[in-house]
Amino acid sequence: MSAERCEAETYRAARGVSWVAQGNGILVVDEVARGSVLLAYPAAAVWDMACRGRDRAHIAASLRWIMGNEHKVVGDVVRECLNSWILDGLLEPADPARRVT
Amino acid sequence: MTMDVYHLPTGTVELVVSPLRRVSAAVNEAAIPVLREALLWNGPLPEPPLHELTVALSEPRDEPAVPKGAAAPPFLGLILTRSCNMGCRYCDFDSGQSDCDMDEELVSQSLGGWARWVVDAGGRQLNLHFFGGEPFVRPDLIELAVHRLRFLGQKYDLPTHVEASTNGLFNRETLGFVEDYFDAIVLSLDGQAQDHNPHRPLRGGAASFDSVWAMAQALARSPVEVCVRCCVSSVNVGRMPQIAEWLCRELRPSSVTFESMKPTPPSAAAGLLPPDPLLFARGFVAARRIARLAGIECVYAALSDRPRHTFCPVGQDAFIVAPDRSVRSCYLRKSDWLAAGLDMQLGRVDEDGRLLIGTEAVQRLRDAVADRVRCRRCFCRWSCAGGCVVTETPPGHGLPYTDYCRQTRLVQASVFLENLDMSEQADELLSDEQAVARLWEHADDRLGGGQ
Repeated sequence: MSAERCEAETYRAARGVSWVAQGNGILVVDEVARGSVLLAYPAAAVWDMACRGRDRAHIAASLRWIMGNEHKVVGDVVRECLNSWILDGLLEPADPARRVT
Repeated sequence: MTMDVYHLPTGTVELVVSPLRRVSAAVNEAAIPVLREALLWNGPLPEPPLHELTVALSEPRDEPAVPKGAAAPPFLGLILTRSCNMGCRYCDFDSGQSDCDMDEELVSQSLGGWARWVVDAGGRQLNLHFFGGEPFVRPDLIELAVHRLRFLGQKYDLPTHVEASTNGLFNRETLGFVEDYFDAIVLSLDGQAQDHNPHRPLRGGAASFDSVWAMAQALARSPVEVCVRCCVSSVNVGRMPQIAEWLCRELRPSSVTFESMKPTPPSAAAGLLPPDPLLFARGFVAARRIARLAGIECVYAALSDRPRHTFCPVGQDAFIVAPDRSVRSCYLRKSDWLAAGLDMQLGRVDEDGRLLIGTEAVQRLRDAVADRVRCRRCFCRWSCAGGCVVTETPPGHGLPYTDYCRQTRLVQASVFLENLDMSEQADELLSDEQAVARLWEHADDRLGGGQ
């Protein structure tokens, strides 16, 4: 799969997963696995944008501005967040046929 | 130094007030020379019932100090754009400006510099307010700014508060974001369709009420605090009580603010006139009663329970960043305040993201709003505080009361009477045009005149 397709990949919360802004983070609740996780920033921003259908490129570009001068690790943050949430069953590609491995 | 005791005729009774002592009373005309003798000329304390009032009026005054030192901004305002998706007939904000949007870099830098400033100043919350234009024309920048704010809130361990002034014309996706992250929305809604549509059409002239009302209802069902701002012109001034009743019944917002329309070239071209001050005052007092019964706050910006030097962000150290990187305390256009002989600019966000604020500019604005010549003799000086320094009390303003002053004096006097459980006397004042004229022509409310 090309890098372009990877950057254009979009996501959605997995079935049974809900979330709510809480304090300065986001509380993600997995009703199927009966677990929850409180996401701090910058992960909270990645989660929010992913669940609103923003693609990976948009998320990375926005995160640079959100983190300001601390943006050197943006690419890693986005990749690690998305991959771990997909592995944990919290997030899924909006179009599974385009799934990047 | 002022002694801060004012008296004014309100028809059947004389009001005696001292805003800096939180004292108000209704007396008869004969009491005025007695109070003047006791308070101004150190005469003997009068017998009851004036004894207690005289003692209260002799207590020390609690005058708000003009701040000194480094700026302590209560909030950051972001003017993300001067663009707007509506064509309000009284608005001339979007008249042919180019390059009127912020970019992502400026949004990020503004928030970063301001948050550091707040932390250094010992602030305890990061308050962000979006102004316009219509801020939700740029939902991408709203999202970025809100996440940047929350990132900084976490970094500095400070709670955050987000609100926006909006026309309510945005889509469901944006509504979802607002519901998730906004604490309050100040919604411009000028009444029901017959009130709102003549004021606030879409670009092209089509009616906007149905779309805005649908959004208002959706917001009212959400956790977001909804504050309605209703602009009053000659079109809807006669319907203020009905508008209040309808809003309280159908929307139940946190507050309803009524403000009179400021005339602009577009409003004149559209045949819209500012409301008659007497009709506005009658409408506001009636609307306020209805809202109070419903447990909803009815606001007129020139009223305040707390003495103050300014009724807006100017003089309160607010940082409002505009797309041209200027930091100012006024969200009006630079051309508006320059035409009034004012410089509202506090500094700028430089290309490296540093917030460069001039201490002298901050103090200049604090001092500029603290003493307005026309207001020195008016009993509203500590609540109205002179109104908008650009449109009402710019440098060199005249001494005679304006329509805004007349309207405010009447509203304030009526509210004083209402707060003294004298609603009947308030009604008598508002229905007696001679009494209204006396109140308007009362050139100096100070008990001792110019002493």
